[in-house]
Amino acid sequence: MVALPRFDDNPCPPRHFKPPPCAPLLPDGPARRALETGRTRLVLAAAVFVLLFAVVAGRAVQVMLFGEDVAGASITRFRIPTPPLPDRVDIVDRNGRLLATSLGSPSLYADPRQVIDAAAAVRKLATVFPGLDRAALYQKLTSGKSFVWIKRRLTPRQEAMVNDLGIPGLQFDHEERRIYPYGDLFAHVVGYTGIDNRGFAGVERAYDSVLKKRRQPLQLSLDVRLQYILREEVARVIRDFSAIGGGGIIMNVNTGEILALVSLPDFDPNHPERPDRDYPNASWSDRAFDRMTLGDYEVGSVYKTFTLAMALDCGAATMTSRFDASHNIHIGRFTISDYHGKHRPLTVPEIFMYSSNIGAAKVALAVGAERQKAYLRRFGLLSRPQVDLDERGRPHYPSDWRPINVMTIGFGHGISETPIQVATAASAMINGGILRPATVLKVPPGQRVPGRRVISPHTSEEMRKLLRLVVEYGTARFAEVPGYVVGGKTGTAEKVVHGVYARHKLLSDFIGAFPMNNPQYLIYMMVDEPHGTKASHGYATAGWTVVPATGRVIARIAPLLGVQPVDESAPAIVDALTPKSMLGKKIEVY
Amino acid sequence: MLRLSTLFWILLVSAAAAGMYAVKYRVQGLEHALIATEKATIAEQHEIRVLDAEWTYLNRPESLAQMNARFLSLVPITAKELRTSVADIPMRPASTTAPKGAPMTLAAAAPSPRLRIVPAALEKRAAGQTDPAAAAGASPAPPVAGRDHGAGRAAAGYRARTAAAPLSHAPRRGRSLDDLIARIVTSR
Repeated sequence: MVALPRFDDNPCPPRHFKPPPCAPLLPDGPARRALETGRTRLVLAAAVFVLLFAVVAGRAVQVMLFGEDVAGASITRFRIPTPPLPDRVDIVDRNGRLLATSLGSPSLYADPRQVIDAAAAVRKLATVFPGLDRAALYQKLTSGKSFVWIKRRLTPRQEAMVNDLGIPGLQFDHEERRIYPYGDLFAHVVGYTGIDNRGFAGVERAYDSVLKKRRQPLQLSLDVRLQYILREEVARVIRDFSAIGGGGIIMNVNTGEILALVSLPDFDPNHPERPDRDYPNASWSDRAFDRMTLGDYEVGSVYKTFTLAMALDCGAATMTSRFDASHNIHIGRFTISDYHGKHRPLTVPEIFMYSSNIGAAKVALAVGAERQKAYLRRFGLLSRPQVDLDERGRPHYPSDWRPINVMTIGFGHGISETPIQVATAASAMINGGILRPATVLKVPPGQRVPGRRVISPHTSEEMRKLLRLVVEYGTARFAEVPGYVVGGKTGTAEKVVHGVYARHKLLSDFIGAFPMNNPQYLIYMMVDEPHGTKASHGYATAGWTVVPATGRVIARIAPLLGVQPVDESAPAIVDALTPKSMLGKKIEVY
Repeated sequence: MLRLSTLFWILLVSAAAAGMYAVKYRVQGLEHALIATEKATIAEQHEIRVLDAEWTYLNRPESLAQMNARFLSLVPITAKELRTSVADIPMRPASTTAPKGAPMTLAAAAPSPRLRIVPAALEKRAAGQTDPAAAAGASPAPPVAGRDHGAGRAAAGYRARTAAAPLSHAPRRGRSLDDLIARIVTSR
């Protein structure tokens, strides 16, 4: 950009000079304007570049001095790996014991075509798996197939060791598996999952979506120790009396929590389809059937608990009312008789103690069909059981409620109930009259569970006395455990086979609770088709089968549950648990 | 033509650049170490899950029951064996070795050095030191000490109790805890 000489303002221009004919010499010609434009553009371009360099420099300063502001964007490749969440969270019992867990388990397979030295591979693998069948593996690796399993479900350590061996052609297949460390102990209540980790039964099914969404383990109300004891005793009853099945429930009467739930025969949730060594003859459908929540049975005399509770609650009978049980009732082609009849008028407590069918039928008649129905509905005995499991059966009862039905239902025949709803309703009878739905989830200690009042506290108190009498003097004396003030009611029903009651196919059950001076826990136990033995003098009734078993269960679990033993002969307890009309009198033993 | 200030700035810039490279590479190295640690942590967590399951499996009630039958023969506690209130616990009779004037509870609780041996060995064992040699070294006195029934703290208390107020029931069927401890300690 050399400045052009301005000739026109030269005071002494050379003579030979002729102004050139071109434009730039003109002071305001188009050439000058073009030059000016070019200059402006150059300045503009320079400014843009200066700005760009300033931006680059500023950015460099920013990165260097204020690194934190931009670090997030620049070091994404240093992201810390987060542990992959298990597909399903663990299930733990009320004390935090692991009932079900998901383990990612690698399985080792090989592509034999890629294995170069099969002999060396076998030798190396044998160092990781000591119990390996070398010959079989060598054969597999030289088979020329494209896929052979070497070992399923390795531990992480074994996986690392195999990786360290560096054998070509070996691959891992990772899959998450549900593991149930307790095996068949919780088969029905915890349930199991299928191949794609979908819940198929029990809690796994009922809480399927919860288990998939949660991050914390799901805590159940169950207790491993109680479950084990209950299962052992139920299994013992089944074995001793060559029964086809059985089950039991332990419940907290004040919260509705299920502490243990057993149904036998059962299965191993780790391998559901595998036959059970203890019950080789039981079919899969029988083993997978939860008798406690899905099955419905005529529970027999246990039902008298509800008949008497409704009679006392609505005023149809009082503790001193008498009902004549001296003669069998003949109605139509039916005859209602007593198993061990007393053949005399009985008071309400006596009807209950001696389990008189005639008496209970008459009490039911005094209550009447409408009130009976209304009360049973209120007790939750005419609808599906209220329990947070998917395996819920439904009760079966006659559609038209004739007097004969009123009477038979009064002592537990002609109506079938699932054991879980019997246990739930019986809890309401003794806990002061509040019905709470059964749950398998832990209720935090101290939390009050809302419920529905179904009978008055006074009636509940009378029921406790009646239940205590049955264990003290009645049909359930074998359930007595010193110190724990047990109460309960037995039931023995004949099973219906092809529409007729089968004389020798019994279903014996028992509902027991302790301690009756302050009821906390309820045990329901049931055995299906027991057969009398020499030790039981040929009897297969509840009093000889499930009642002693319940006694054994209580003796074992009461110390675990922290129930304080009391002296049941102490006057305070005797006074509180004996009906007023019977205080101080000699009570005839069943 | 290099002026002194130019030289200074060139040196400064190269020093800064070298420093930054060094720091960057160290940070990168640390980050790799961090990732490795995180991965190891996850692996450990997986292992813990596996071990949890295994521990639960080994502690199944039926296997505990079998081990109880083999080694302990403990039986369920009955209501008669429970003392539920302080008033039910009889005082220690005056005829025992407790020094006069000393509070009885303290005398009962203070362990004699000889008695301490067995629990110490057991504690070590519980803490995971299963080396038999170490266990043997920790208990120089003959293991019979544990079997020394009359001197055992719990046993003494139990005896004192039974002596003061004879219980209304037959003696327990299960062996006493001291016998068991002695048996476990001497079985190696």
